[in-house]
Amino acid sequence: MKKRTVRNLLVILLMCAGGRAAGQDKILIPMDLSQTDHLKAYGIAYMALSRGLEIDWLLNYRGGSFMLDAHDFIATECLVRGVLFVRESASGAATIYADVQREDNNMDVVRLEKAPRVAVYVPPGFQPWDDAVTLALDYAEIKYDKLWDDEVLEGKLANYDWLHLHHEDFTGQYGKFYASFAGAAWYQAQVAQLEQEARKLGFKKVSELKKAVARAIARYVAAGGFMFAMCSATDTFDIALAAENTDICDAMYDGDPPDPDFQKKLDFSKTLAFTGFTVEKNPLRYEYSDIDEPPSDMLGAQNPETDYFTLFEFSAKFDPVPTMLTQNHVNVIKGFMGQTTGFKKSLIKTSVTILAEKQGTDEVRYLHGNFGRGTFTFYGGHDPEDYQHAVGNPPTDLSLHKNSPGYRLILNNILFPAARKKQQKT
Amino acid sequence: MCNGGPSIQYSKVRKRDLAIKKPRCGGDGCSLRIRVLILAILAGPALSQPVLSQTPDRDSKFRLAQGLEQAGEYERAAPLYEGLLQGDPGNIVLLDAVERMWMQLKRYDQAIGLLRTRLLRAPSDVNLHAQLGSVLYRAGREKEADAEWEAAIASGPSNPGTYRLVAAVLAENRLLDHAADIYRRGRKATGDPDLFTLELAQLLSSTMNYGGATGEYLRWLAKNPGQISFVQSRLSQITGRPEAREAAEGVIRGALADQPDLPLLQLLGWLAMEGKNYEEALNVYVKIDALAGARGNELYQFANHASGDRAFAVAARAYQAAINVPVAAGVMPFARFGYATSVLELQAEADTFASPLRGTPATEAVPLYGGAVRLFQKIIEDYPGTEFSARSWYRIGVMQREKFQDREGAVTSLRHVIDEAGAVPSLRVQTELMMGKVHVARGDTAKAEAYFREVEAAREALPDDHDESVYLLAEIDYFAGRFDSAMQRLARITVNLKADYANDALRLAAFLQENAAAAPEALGKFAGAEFLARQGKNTEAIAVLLAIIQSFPQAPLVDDALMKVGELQTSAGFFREAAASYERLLAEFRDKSTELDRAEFALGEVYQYGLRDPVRAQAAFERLLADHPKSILADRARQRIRQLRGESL
Repeated sequence: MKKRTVRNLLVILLMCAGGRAAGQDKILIPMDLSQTDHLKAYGIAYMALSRGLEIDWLLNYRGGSFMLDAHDFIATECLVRGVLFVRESASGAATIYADVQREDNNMDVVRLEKAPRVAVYVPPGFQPWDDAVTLALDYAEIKYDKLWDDEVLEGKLANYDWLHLHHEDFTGQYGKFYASFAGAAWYQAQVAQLEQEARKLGFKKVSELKKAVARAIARYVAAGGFMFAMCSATDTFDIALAAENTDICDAMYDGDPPDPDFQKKLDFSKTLAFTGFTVEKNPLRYEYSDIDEPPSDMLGAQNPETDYFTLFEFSAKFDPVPTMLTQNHVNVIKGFMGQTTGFKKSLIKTSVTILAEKQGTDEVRYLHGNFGRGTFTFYGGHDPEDYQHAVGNPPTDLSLHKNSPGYRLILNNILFPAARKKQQKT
Repeated sequence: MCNGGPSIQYSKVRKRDLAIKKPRCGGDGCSLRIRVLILAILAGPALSQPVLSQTPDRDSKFRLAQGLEQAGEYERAAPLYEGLLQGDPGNIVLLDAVERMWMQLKRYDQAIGLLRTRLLRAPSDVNLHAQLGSVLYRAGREKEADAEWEAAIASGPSNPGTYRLVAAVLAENRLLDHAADIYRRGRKATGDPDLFTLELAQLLSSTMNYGGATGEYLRWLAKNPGQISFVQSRLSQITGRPEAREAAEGVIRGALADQPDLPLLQLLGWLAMEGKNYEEALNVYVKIDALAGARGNELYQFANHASGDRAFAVAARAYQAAINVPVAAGVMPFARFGYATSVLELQAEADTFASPLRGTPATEAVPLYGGAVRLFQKIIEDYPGTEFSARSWYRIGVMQREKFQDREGAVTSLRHVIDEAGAVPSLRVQTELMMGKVHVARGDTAKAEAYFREVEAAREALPDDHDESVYLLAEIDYFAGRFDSAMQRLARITVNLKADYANDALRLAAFLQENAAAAPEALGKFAGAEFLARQGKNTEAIAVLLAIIQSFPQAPLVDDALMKVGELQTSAGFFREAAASYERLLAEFRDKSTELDRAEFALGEVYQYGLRDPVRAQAAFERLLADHPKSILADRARQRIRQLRGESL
C-alpha cells in the first residue's frame, strides 16, 4: 500500500515537472498495430494543433502515440475519420506518462504546440504522374499551399515552416525523360512551359532557373526552414547546388553542350547531404549521378518480395529528432522504387544522420541532416505503396493503405516542425 | 580528287548539312553521333582515301578520333583531329570535326576563329554563317550572332533552304520565337505564303502559341483538304490543355467567318467533342450535315457519340434533328429508338420525386415518363414485328413495373417482347426474368416459377442470369415455406462466391438456417410477410411482422421483423413511425441483435431524407461509428456525416 502511494506521488510529481495540469481526462491515439487508420491519425493531430490544442507525442510508446486533452469534438472527429482512440482518465494518463518517462525505457514525450504552415513545391497544372506527399497530405486532411518557381524566387518560402519538394528535377534536364518521351505531347508541353517560365523570370536556360530555385530553397533551410524531399528531388537538389558554376546539361536540354570539365567544377561544399558524387554524363541515360543506389537501369533486378529496408532505433531521450522521424508501428518497411530509389552510403556526408537503410547493402533509403538553422530529410523512392510507379499510372488510393508504414514516415516529417524545441541533453 | 578538291567537298557538306539540320536531329548528343556516322558513311570514301592512301597512321588516327568522339571522349578526340587537320588544312571533314570538338569542349573562341577563317575562303557559305552565329550565341556574343545569321540570310535571300537552315540553327539554340520569325521572313521573301507550315506549326506549339500553331495547320489543310486526320492527330498533341483547345477553336471560328468550309467545320466539331462541349458540337454538326449533304447521318452519328457520353439533352436534340431531316430510311428506326431512350434518360434525370428512401409515386411517374412511353409506342406502331418494337415493348414494360406500379400493363407489354423477339435471345432472357418478378408482385408464384424455370434451362442465358433465376426460384420456395428446397437452390449459387448473387444467397441461407429449426412457425409467418411486402401490401405485412414480434419474442428473427417494419414504414413514407421502429430495435435489442448497425444507419437516413433533420441524422451516424466502428456501413456513415457537415467528399 505504501509502495503504491509512493508511486502515485511520483506520477503526480512527474506530471507537474512536465507542466501538465492534473485532473484532465485525455484522449490517447495509439499508433501501434491496433490503430485503424494511421495516416488520418496525423490529420487529427494536425487538426488539434490548428485549433490551438497541444499534443504530446509519446515517442516509442505504442508505435509513437498521441495524447491530448479530451474534447468531444476530437472524439467525434476521430470517429468520423475512422481513427482509433481511447479515453484515458487523468490517473490512467498519468500512469502512461510515468511509464514513458521512466529512465530505463527508450521513450519520451515531445510536446507539439503549433500546426506547421505547409507548402508543396509543385508545378501549375497536372503532371502525368502523382506525388506521394500530396497524396498523403490530402488523405490525412492536412492543408497546404502550392508554390512554384516564381513564388520561391519572390521569397514567399519565408511564410512557411515546412516545404516539400515535388518529384522534381533541379538539374534542368526535364526529368531525363528525353530518351523515352521526347515525342510525347506532355513532355513537349512541359519543356515549353518551363522554357517560358525561365524566360519570364529572366533566365536564358531552364537549368539556370532551377539552380536559382535550388539556391533559394537552400537559403530558406539555412534560415530555419524544414525541407522534405523524395525521389529525384533529393539528388537533383544537391547536384544543382554543386553545379552552381558549371553546365552539366547536354544540348537537348539547354541548347548547348555541357562543360567538359563540369565534374571537376562541382562544389560539394554547397550541398546538403551528398559529397564526392559523379554526375552522369550520358544525356540519354535515365539517371542523374551515382548517388542513386541501386541505379535506375538496375531496378529490373530488384525483387519486390525481398526489397525491405530497416529503420534505425534512436535514443528517444537523447536523440528526439531522429526518433520522431522514425516513429512507426513496424521497423522493417516494404521497399519501393523511384527515379531515385536510395542513396549510396559512401557518398553521404558524415554530418548526416542515416534513418533507414537496406540491410547488408550500400543503400540508404531515408536520411536527415541540419543545414544552417534548418533541417532537411530525404526519402528515396516515389510511392511507398506502388512498388514501381510508372509515368501514366493512376494515383494510389490511400484509403486502401490506411496503415502504410512507408507513408507514415512522410507524415512524421509534417509534425516534426510542430515540436517545441528543448535543450538537448547531449 | 586525292587532295579533296574544294568544290567537291563543298557540295558534300551542303548535302550533309541539309540532312542533319532537321529540328529533331539538331545539336544533341544523339544527333551528334548520328552525324558522325553519316559523315563516316557519306564522306568516308572521299575522305579516308587520301588519308589511307598517304599513311596508314593517319587513317588509324582518324578512326580512333571517330571512336573517341562517339564515346563522348571529346577531350581526347580533339587533339587527334587537330593533328590530322594540320597535315591536311583544307580538308572539310576534318575542319568540321575540329569545329565540332571545340564546340563540345566549349572552346568557342577557337571555333569562332576557325569558322571565320573558313568564311574568308567561302564568304557566301550560308551554313558557315549560320554555324558561326550559333557559336557566337553560345559564347554570349548575341549581337554578333544575330549579325551572322543575317549575313547567312543575305547570302541566299530568295532561297527557302536558307531560311530553313538558319531557323533550324536558331531552334537548336532554343531561340524558338526567333526561328519562327525567320520562317515568316522566308515566306515573305520568297512570295510563298504556304512555305514552312508544318515547321512553324511545330515551333509555335512548342512556344505555347496554340492559336498560331492552329493557323498554320489550317493553312496546311487548305492545301491538303484530304488530310484532316493528320491535322487532328497533330492538334491532339495540344488539345489536352483547355487553353490550347480554346485558342484553336477561336482560330477555326475566325477562319469560318468568311465562308463555310467542311474540313474546318469537321475540325471544329471534333475540337468541341474533345472538350466535351456538346452544345457547341451540335451547332457545328448541324452545319456539317447540311454542307456535306449527309441527310441527317452526321447528326445521327454525333447523337450516338453524345449519348454514349451520357450527354442526353444534346443527344436527344441531335436525334430529333436527324429525324426531322429526315435521315435515310435504314437509319430512321435507330435514330427514333435513340431519341426515345435519350428522352427517357432525361426524364429520369428530371425526376425530383425519387429519394434514396423511396421511389417516385405512381401518380407522379405517369405524367413524368409519359413522353418517353408515347415515343416507344409510336416506334411499335411504325416498326411492328422488328427488334425495335420488341425493345420498345421491353422499355415500356420496365417503366410500367418500376415506375407506374402497373403490373397488368407490364405483363401485357412484356408478353409482346416474348412473342416478337425470338431473334434476340438476350432480350428474351431479360424479359422472362422481368416477367417472373412481375408475377411475384401479382402474387402468382406459379406463373413466376414457370418463367424463372425457362431462364434456368435456357442455353442462351448468361451465368449471372442463370444464378438470378435460381435465386428467384429459391425465394418462391421461401415464400411458400419450402425452406429445405430453398436451401438446396441457394447452395447451388453459393458454390461460386464471386457470382453476383452469391451474397444475397448467403444472406438468405444464413437466415433460413438460423430460424428453420429454432422458430419454424415464426419463420413461416415472416416469409409470408415478406411475400406480402413484395406485392406492395405494406400495411398487411407490417401487421403480420408486429404480430410475430409479440407472439414470438424469443425467436431469433424478432429483431429482423422489427427492422423490416422500419423499412416498410420508410418505403410507405411513414418516417416518424419508421424512426420509432428503429429506435425501439436499438433500445430493446441492444446487445442481442446483429441488425443494430443497419438500424442505426437506416435511422440516420430517415432523419436525413425523410424527416429532414440533419442534426439527428448526424447523431445517428455518429452513434453507428461509436457503437460499431468495424461495421461494413462505417465508411458510408462517415461519408454521410461529411455530407451533412457540408464538406466536399
